Amino acid sequence: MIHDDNHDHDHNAPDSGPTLRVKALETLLIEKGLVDPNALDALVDTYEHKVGPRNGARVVARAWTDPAFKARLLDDAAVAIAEIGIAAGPQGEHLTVLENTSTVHNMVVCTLCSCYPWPVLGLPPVWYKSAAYRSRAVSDPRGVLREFGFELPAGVELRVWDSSAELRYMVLPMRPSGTEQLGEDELGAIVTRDSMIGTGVVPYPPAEPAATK
Amino acid sequence: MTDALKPRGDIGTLMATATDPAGAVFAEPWEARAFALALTLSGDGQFSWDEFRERLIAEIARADAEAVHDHGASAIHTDHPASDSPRGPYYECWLATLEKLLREKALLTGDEIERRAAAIAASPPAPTKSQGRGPIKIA
Repeated sequence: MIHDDNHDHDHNAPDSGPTLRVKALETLLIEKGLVDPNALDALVDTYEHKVGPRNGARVVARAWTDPAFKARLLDDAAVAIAEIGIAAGPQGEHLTVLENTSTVHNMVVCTLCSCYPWPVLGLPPVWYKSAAYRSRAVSDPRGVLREFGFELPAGVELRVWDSSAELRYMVLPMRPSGTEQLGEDELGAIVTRDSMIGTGVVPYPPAEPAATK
Repeated sequence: MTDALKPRGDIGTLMATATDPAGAVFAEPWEARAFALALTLSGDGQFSWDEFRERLIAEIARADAEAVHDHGASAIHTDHPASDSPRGPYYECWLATLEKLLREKALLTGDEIERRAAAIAASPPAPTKSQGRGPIKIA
């Protein structure tokens, strides 16, 4: 839980580097009435605890079990996700959902920075923002998938999508076989974040606890 | 089958360095504050998100170029060794972008930022131990 550094009296070491810099900016802006410290705390809390890939997993599970919803999702993602109570928000504009099939596998990158569909996936993981991913997702996407432990069969077309200020993408991964008897909630629990970025598929049985919150 | 799922290579290394399998959203408190500052100022209309993003792209490009200059072309294929953060320079770029925009929009001046940073750095840390006096009498 992030606490306000201004009130941290247990902190013996002097602030330095970025901590110092941020504290200087924050205290000045608060004093000038340009930011509200409660609003800052609420934002941190939202993105640490409330908005994350669990949202996207619910979208995927609904799409797998409800073909009409899936059709609406592929046609207009923003309207469809609102149906299941996921709030639009920053970085949710112009969201497109890309469907993986037996012949097409989609993968998303932001080559210039870190554009990412926050409302459905939360904030991007460190590797998504790395120079390695940003460059190699384009120059060697199958190699990148191999580093994620996933060998894409040669006959499957790999489409790499570059996110940008105008466009955000979320991948709708294929429903793994053997899940026919799972209900929507159980399906949501097995969807991994990486499968919604396109750097993997949904394993079943789950390889490890689904890395989401 | 489990081995085939193990991440490896440079991106695999990046994934493994996150202590939390889900990936902690912010590695340090300052990252969270810098993130929240940018979002809230933009939300209030002090600058557009496009303006922030354009400058962030430039900072990231600068960081990438520096890494290549200092460590060769392979630097962009691995995490930046020169960065203070083992998780790469992303939030340093974010902070630099934020500061530049604040100055550009004349919300803060470079001078007052430097003075405040110096003042914070110079202030002694709050003592954790009580500094009371000793007993007034020993009997």
